Amino acid sequence: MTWTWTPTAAWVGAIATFACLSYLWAENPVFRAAEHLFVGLATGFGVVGNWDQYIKPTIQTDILKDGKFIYIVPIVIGLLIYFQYFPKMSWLARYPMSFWVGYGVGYTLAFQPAVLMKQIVDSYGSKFAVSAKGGGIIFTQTLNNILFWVFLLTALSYFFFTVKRENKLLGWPAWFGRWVIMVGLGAAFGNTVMARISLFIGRLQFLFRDWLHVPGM
Amino acid sequence: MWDRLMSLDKRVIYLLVAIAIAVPLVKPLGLPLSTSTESETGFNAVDALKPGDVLWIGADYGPSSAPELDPMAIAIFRQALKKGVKVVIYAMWQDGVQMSKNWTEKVSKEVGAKEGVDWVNLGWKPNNPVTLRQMTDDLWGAAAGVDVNGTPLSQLPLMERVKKLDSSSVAFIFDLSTGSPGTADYLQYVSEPKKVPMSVGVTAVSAPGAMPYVKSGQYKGILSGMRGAAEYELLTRAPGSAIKGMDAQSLGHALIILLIIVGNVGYVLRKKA
Amino acid sequence: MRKELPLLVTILTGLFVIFGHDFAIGEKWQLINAMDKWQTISQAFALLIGAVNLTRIHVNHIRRRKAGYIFSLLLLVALWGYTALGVVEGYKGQNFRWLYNALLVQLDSTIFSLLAFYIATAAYRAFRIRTVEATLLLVSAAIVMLGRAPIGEAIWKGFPDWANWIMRFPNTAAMRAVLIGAYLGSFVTVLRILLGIERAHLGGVGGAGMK
Repeated sequence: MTWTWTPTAAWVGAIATFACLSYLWAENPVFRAAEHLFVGLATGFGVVGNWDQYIKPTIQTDILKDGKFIYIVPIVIGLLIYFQYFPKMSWLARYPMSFWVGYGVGYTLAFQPAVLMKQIVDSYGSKFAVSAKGGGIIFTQTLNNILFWVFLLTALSYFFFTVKRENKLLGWPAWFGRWVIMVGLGAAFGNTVMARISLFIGRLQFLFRDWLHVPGM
Repeated sequence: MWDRLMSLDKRVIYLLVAIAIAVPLVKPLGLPLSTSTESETGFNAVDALKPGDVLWIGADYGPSSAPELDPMAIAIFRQALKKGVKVVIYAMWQDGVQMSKNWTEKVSKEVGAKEGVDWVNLGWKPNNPVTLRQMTDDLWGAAAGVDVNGTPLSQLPLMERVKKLDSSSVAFIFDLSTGSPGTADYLQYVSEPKKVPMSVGVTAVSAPGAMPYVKSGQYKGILSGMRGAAEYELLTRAPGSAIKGMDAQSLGHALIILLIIVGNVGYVLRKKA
Repeated sequence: MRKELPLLVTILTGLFVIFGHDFAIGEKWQLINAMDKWQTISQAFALLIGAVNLTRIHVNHIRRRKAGYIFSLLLLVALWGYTALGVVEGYKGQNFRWLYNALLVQLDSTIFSLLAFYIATAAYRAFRIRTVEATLLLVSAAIVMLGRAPIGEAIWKGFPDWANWIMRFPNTAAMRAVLIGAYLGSFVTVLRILLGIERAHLGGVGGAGMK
């Protein structure tokens, strides 16, 4: 069944939208109600997703239909986490946590180095951009490649704390690297502004298009 | 005057923001829009897929990123289905399930594609990226054997060909992501080890952090925020909500720059006084 | 043993995953695959903990009649009412989806959209150009903002090119430097866990810290 906006749904959505926006004026009971409703629904949504998309099929198919009763062991491991609510037995909750953290450790060490190595290798390739047609050097691209390399090394040197900054050899690259990082953070700020404005555009598009049915939206 | 301006009630600024964004939505300015190399690279990668190839779309976002990522998803999904490319959708974010349900239903109805044959929505599974990695060796097991509707994967003809998330089954990955789990996990656990090329669509906030992977060629292009979505809509010649939002984005940016300038001029003049 | 055994579990699990992935025999036996399923099942059954915690806190508010306890009641009704509806109907249920699209999506996206207003007031009140660094930050931000929106292109055709240049070179270099640092930091942290130096994940359970 395709989702379509009925008038009731649009009105409910619009009221919820204004309830949240009312916070801009001042903290008020309507906003607090909306906020609590949001937390309650979002958590409920998470519980249902977990049940519907994984727990139910695992029990129905894997365990009951295919007879993989061994899966009861990980179920018990997972359930041990709830012992944290019983002070005398709370130590049992350490086992699932240990298992998960250990798993995360293994995953990090097994998979991350390949990605990091590619980042490093990419940083130190040839700086000369050669034209595919005539074989000559493309000046702008080569200059950009060299600039990138300088930017990267100086930015890295900013995070290098082993030697004191008074050292002239390390002092100026770190100082320049700080500038590079500032330009990067400026770009990040610009992008953040863009993202935040998009969020409100989305809200207005809902109000104009689906609630008020403004033509052309 | 500057004193009054500097102690302006914040609600006046809120009102200015609301007006700057609302007016162009109702009365568009028709400002020009061009495409970037990064968006074109992502578009060309999907465009190069042959009919019957499998495109994997990651729907790793929730309602708060929908204005930026929904238009990308719609444009990519439509482009793929129209080309006869098969699509598998998977969400590492629970909200991604309902988000993707909305656009898959809308677009497949419009294109006339059939669920289970032309596309499959695997829904959400817990414990990502572990589950995502397991999919690279045993997709059916990792997905608990069912799709988003609880239909057994054995009853979906498309899934007969897709038993692993690797280069033997999936030709390309397009991950649309807000954060973690998301693009970095696809890169680390699928694209790198299983050699499946990938591209990403991210919120504008995440774009700067994703750029190093674009430069190293690990991401084949990037769609960044609503602008990236608008560019993709332009490339697929199917204008949608992102293109419509670009004028509002423009005035919003202009207002913020103006606020920074006024704030600084006021600060300097007050200091002098 | 209540302290040492969980530590051993962490270390052995970590080594198991590394062995399963990085050694040919581990890969051949598909060790990680078997264990992945266990990990996922165990986490799936533990995910209710968020809802349980939230319920405990708000039941407490209601019992003690704390200020605004009526909102706690609303939260609990929403949480367990929506959960019950979802368990009965499932993800594809009409009413479940209706509430999600008409209410939850709207609440979620509007609460986040408030950030558009806050960033505007922050730009007005706090973004001061006092140093060279702040100037660089502002110039870069302004070019990116103008270059990434059509208005910049309308003012000057060069804005998108300069915005793209900033994103591709100084931004990418700075982010890569941060990324390399973050990767190294995460390696150090996981090595500390693997060697048993870092034990924070075992402490604090039920108020019983690990000494």
